[in-house]
Amino acid sequence: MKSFKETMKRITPGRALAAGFALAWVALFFSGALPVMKMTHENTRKIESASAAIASMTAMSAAGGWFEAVVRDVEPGLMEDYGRLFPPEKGREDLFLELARIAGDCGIEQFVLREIPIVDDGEGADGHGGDPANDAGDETAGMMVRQYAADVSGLPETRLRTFRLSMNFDTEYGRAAEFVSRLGSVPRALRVRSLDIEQNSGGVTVTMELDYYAQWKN
Amino acid sequence: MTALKVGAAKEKPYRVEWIKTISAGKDGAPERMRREDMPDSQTILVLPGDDISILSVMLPEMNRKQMHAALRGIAAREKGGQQDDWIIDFRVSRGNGASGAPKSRIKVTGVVADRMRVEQSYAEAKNIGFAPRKALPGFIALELLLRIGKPDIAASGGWLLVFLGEKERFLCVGDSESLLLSRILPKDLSGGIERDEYAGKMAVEVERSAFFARQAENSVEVKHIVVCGEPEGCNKLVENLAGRSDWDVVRWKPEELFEAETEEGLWKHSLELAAAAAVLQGHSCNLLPRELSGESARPAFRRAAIASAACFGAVVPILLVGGMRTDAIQQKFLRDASARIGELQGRSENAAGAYLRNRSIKVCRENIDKYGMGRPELARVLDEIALRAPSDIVFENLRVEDGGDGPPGLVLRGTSVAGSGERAQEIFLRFLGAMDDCPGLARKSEPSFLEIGGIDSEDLVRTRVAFTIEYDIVGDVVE
Repeated sequence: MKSFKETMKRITPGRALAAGFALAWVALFFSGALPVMKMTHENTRKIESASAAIASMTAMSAAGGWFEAVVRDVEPGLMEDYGRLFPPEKGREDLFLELARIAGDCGIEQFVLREIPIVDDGEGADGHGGDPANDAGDETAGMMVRQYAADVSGLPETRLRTFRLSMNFDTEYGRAAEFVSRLGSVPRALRVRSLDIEQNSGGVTVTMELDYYAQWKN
Repeated sequence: MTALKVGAAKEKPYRVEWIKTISAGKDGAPERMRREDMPDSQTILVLPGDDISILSVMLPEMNRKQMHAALRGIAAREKGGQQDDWIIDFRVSRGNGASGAPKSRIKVTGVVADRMRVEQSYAEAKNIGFAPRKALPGFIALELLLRIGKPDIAASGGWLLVFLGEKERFLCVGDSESLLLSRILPKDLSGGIERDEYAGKMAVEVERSAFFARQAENSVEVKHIVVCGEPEGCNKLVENLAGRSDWDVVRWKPEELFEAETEEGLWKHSLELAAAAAVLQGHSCNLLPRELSGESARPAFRRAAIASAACFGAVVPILLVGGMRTDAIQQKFLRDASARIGELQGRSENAAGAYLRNRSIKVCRENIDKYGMGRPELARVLDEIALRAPSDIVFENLRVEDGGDGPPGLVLRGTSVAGSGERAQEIFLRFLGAMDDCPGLARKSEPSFLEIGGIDSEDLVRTRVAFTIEYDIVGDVVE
């Protein structure tokens, strides 16, 4: 074993200086260079994210002009028709009155009109129509909200509720045809599900089922 | 073989720390040096001078590598053999014009040794555990010591050094800068008996060498003759030379430069002592091949180590400075990007909202197409049926069914009545043809019918054809 003195003799000023430089190098590396490298790496990730967001927003902003033009030009007229055909409220009484008026104008007496339940036959079930938040649209809408903070609160209600009514009356064939013709004057959407004209002794017996619609309400 | 260790001293320039004579062991093999006796680096081997000579030439300006190559070529040409057969070390001095040489020429004094002899000496040293880093001939060592011990003589001009040792005897001629020549002197074959005669012969050799030195290309005028070595022999030679010419004959005892436990007989190790002193003073003459001395590796290794250390050491500051600069640029970019995102945020929000409204508009259109506009022209179809049906056709039932996603269906059930089956058939077929031409209707299949005979209420024979026809109600359905 070498003595402490001999060991100290071997530590020349040059070696001590070299050791000091080495320690300083290590300290500088771990306290300076390494944290800076980590920081720049993190910044790189942020830059990539920001660049992607800018590219996406720029594309969306560019497309927005076209979207807004369509909304501006088409939506007012369309939504007016839509609201008329598919009113927000059920409005059954108004519809019934209108139908009764038409029947009266056509000279149809003993006009029987009633609402009937809809049996789930794959048609006419509630929830017709798409919605930006339907199965496929949920994801798109969700992405739009997350990425662009899109406002979905003012979107028009596109889901529909279906109601069904049944009419029975006896009349002449011609008046029945006229009644059917004048159904078109009803301002809201009506769909003839079935029409049965049965010959009877005095004319025909008409049995009709109609579907009518209203906008979905939660 | 003799090994010794010399260090610095206080009263005299040097101190002999130990002297060891290596002898053969019991098995005939020489003793080996102890590892702790030998320092790591300052080890030198004294080579016998009989196969080593001086090469003194004047060369034009060139770098050391070129000089070395030139000397190797000259040595091979003068001594024969290949260039690799000779090991050369050399010193350079400028021509001072004293000998008539122009100052642009360089005086190069080379020491040329036989490689095989050097390697042999090295192997002998290795055999006793001694790994020298340098090797030089005795006369070079003694010349270096002369310049240390007698600087006034060495610097004054031409001198001639005579060494009368136990094993080697030589003389060398030099000036203030370098050696000119060296010669091996014959041994005293009388064994010291006829010293006067031997001294006379040596004096003649000295005179001849001095004369030859005057005639050489780089001529030297010998002014001092320095004699060292075996005491009695040297004294005799000095006496002999003193009366011969105007030379300054000096009896020199190089061993007096060394402190030792026993100074008697120290002269026997004059060459080894001189070599050790030369190493201590940092004089460099080295006739060991590079692969043995490690000199070729050391400078290159040192350069590589320094370069590596510099590169490695510079990495951290470069990383730090580069990283900080990069961070500054990145931060600026992120600030700009944040501002840009802020600008785009509002526009993209509006655009996304408009996109969703577009999708809603599309769905509304679809709803309108499917539910709002898709009502069939029932009234017109009913009117057309009534127009096309003759009085002989009696409708029993007309049914319209919503076709779902397809066109609505219409089923007509009725009868055609006539007095005969043929007539009833005819009426029916005419009605069928008229219905086929009815706009807005497309017959789905062949009608089914049944001929039924019978008697009516007025006792008339009547034939009825009961039919059922199915249609699709097609075409534009806007009323």
